[in-house]
Amino acid sequence: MRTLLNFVRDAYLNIKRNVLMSTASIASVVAALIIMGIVLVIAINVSYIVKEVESNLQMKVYLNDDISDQQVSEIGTYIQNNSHVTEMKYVSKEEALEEFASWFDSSEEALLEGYAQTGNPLPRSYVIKVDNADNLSQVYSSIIEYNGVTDVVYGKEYVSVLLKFNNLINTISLIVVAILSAVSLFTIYNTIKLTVYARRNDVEIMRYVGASNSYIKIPFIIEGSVLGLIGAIAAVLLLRGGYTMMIGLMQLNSVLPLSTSLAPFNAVIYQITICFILYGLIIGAGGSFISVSKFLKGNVK
Amino acid sequence: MIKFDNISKVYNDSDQYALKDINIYIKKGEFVFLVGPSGAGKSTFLRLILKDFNPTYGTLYLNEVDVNKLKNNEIQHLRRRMGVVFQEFKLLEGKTVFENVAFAMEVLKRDSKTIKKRVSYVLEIVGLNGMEDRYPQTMSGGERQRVAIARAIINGPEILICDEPTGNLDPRTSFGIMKLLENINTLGTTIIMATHDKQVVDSFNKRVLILENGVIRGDRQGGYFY
Ligand SMILES: Nc1ncnc2c1ncn2[C@@H]1O[C@H](COP(=O)(O)OP(=O)(O)OP(=O)(O)O)[C@@H](O)[C@H]1O
Ligand SMILES: [Mg+2]
Repeated sequence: MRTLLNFVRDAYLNIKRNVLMSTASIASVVAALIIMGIVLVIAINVSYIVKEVESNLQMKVYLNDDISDQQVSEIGTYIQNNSHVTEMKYVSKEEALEEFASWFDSSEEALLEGYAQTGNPLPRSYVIKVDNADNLSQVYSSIIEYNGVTDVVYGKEYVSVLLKFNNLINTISLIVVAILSAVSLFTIYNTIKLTVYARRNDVEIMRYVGASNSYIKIPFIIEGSVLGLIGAIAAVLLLRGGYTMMIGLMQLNSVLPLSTSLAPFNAVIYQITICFILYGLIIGAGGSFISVSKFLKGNVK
Repeated sequence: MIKFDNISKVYNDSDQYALKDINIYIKKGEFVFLVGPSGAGKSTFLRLILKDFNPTYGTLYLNEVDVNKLKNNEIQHLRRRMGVVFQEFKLLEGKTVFENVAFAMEVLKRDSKTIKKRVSYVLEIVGLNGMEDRYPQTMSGGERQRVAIARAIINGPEILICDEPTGNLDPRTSFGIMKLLENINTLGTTIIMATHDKQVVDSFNKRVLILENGVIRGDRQGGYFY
């Protein structure tokens, strides 16, 4: 009985025999995966940035100067009861002024002096963070109506643009992945078609000695899988090298403000590696399966 | 055991009959020569038995079974009871003699010990003992045809189909191959052999079917009529 090892050895020998075609299909898998990798890296970085921005998104709830401290803490409790609110900080009038002063290059005292007649005009506020940018508007409308709240402020337009951009990038990635999958599937399909044709003699003999269809197909499917696998591994290595280089370059020049925001590759490399290898195997096996099945069907007149 | 019941064959991409209204019965253990000019339909006749395709009209019975009605896996089992030898040998080039012959048993998922024993036994029968590790490229036509015959008979087939097995061989080598086939036939295997080789047909006294333009022109015992 032939073992899997035997099959793989035969696949290796056949790939060696058809160096040109095999190289071509490995190259096509590598190219597809690299382009996919770049798109993926962009998508991952965009969602990484969105996450970063989201987790830093603040919402300011300004309070009426006339309400009592009791009412202030009631509002605080109400806000904290909202399950989307992850963080809440109270900012007193003094703290507000301090922060305000720090923006201008003047001292608190100087400012207070300027406001001597009217007193500190800055209202008390709660600064809160929300778990997810999608929930900002809902949190907004639940708080704005509350008695004693004068205003709720957050970067509305900014958030919606960011969300739209993120969705666009995701859609584009999906389309690119679909197109490239079709292209590499087709290339593997054609390579194995040539391989099958080159070995039609073997296939014919196998049929005549009564080999089952799956027995005939398996070597070709393994060969396709090996091609896809080699392509996937090469793509992972190249992509890894390229990304590391890019992070290095960005830190060196620090021209782009992005440099600090590039997602650390190690965080995603294992997922990408596994995905690519699975992808290579599936595309390789799938392409050759279609090819050899078609050949076996077409052979019977 | 083989019955052609009013069989006609028209190839898909053709408007002519490759075979027309064939009615033939071949008994178990017979040795039959199939002769006729090029394009007469000899290979088509053999490929019908091999179940390469179905007849366009009529029915082919093997052991009283209508082979038209067989499912994929039943066809595979049918083929395992047949052996086939071609003019151009059709050996696996990258593989040794042993691997070429063993291949037909591996397909049947026999264990390697049985395969080893049986392959060396069969190689002895065809006169190739000691050549297990040679590659077909390094062998003469006659030797290659013996490898092909060894592969065809390794599973003890009921029927051996030979399509011009001596077509590429000189008269002396052909004679050796014919003797071998005759021996195999004596052991009980039914043999149907298409040939152009007048000398071969004349020197072996067997049943001769004469095909011409897809039609049976003669069915005689011995001699080369056409
Ligand atoms: N695959 C095919 N498609 C279409 N026509 C075919 C095909 N194979 C054979 N034919 C035609 O069928 C007829 C019979 O062919 P076949 O190969 O059976 O002849 P043959 O007796 O074996 O000839 P030869 O002695 O040259 O081998 C011929 O006219 C041939 O052109
Ligand atoms: Mg022929």
